[in-house]
Amino acid sequence: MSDLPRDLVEEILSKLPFTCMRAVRLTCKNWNTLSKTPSFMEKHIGEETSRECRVIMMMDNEVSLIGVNFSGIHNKVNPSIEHTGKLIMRYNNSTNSKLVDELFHCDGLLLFVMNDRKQRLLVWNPYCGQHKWIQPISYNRKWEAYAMGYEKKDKSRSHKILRIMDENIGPNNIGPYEMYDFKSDSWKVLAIKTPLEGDIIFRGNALSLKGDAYWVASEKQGGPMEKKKFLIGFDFTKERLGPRLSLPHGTYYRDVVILASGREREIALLFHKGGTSEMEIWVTTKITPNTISWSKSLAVDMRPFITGYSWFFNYSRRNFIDEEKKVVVVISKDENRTRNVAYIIGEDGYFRKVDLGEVRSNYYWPLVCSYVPSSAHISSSFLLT
Amino acid sequence: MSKKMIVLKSSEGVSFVVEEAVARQSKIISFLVEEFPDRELPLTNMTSEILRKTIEYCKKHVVEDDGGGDSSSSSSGDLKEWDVKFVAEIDQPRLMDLLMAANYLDIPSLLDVTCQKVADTIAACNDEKEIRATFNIENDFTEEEVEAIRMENQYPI
Repeated sequence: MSDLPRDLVEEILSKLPFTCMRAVRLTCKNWNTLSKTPSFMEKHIGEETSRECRVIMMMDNEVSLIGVNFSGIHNKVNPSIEHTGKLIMRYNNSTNSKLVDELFHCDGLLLFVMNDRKQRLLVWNPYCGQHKWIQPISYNRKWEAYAMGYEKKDKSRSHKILRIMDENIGPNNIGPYEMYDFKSDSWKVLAIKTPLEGDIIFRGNALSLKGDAYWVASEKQGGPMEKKKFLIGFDFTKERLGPRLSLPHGTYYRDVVILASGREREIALLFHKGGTSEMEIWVTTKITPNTISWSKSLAVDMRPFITGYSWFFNYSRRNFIDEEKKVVVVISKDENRTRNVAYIIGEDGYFRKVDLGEVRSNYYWPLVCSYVPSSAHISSSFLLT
Repeated sequence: MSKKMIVLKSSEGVSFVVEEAVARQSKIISFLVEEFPDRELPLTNMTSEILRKTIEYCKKHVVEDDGGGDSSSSSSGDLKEWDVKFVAEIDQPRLMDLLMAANYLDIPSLLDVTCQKVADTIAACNDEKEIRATFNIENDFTEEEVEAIRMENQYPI
């Protein structure tokens, strides 16, 4: 193996699943150096992402990489959901307390909002193996939403974290919008003017798309009947919120509207009309923080599968969609709430439950985000050798 | 019409008579045949054993053009299965030789199959120690360097 020319070693190593890279880097100097070159990373990531859809799942304090393959779904071959590897090993089995409050993916970087007293943030690139702990400017405060994105300037990407605080807090309120910049390793408070941004509520988790972040939101004021839902985007280059973006059709307060990601190409909207068994899936044909257009992708009658209110849907903490194959996966729990389950919903009434294992704690629901590996650097201290 | 044959000679001087269509899957041979017709081609860095294996692969993968368009001798599913069996039967050192041969003769599909097999073998190893043992790789790190890589690649929680 040592006699092989460099390009052949590169060819071989690029065919490895990236959960093997730690062992590869520890094998010998040659492999370690090779695995960190930009040309290798590009090739390797290309091979990785061409194979199947990747999802990061956090269940019961364990972070796993899951490979999902939908390719046979329209030939009556059930899609595979396969544990590709456990990513975080040092997990204390005895603790039942929730480790992570929120999980967010952007450009190959994972953001974990820790459920500890200091509300620390962990940013991790599982592909490169680097991570960084970030302290918020202040803690003991209630946060409303988090998102990660990047500034697009001269083709380079400069990553940032947005932290939106809950406004109704004590005298130490220093502003509801805080931003962390990886380049300067510092926080600043953004001067975002009300009333536009001040009177909305962010509902659910943000989704990242092309460096910007999007939420479903609703008005803060007014009775439940008037609280129309809409989409709102944050532009990480201009560091500001965009205007209210309309959903494909009007919503009633009982309707469930959640976002699903699709391989960082589009955003999908799962729309479940309150009190009915109908579910619609819409996909963006164009989306920026300022403009949006939708096309209907799928309409499913959930009657054969779900009786009454689709509770699993309401609790589900983010989902993903494969637009080409017209499949949506909702990660949640089963009816008895004792098993973690993936619900796969497709065209022509395709519905399948995939068991993901026993629920160890009732306190939390599985966190999921679609994942595309990247060589994005977290800090300048990580130098290519 | 009889098929055109060419002669490939291994490092031990053993001659292999092969149909030209079979041998032309190698881009290098394809080029040489056009430049030097009617000559036998010496492959001085390939042993008879590896050359025989390479020819066996090329025979299975040859696409016969019998005038009625391309028709492969096997369906692609069967071929894939055959490939898996083909590389599974070869031991580690010979697999590396075959990989080098595929690279030298420029046979992309054989290179892909052999690289994938090596990658699968690496992936099946439990840790770096097993990888080194399997592939006879020397550990050239100092303890400090190993520690640095471990730090860099550690699980954060």
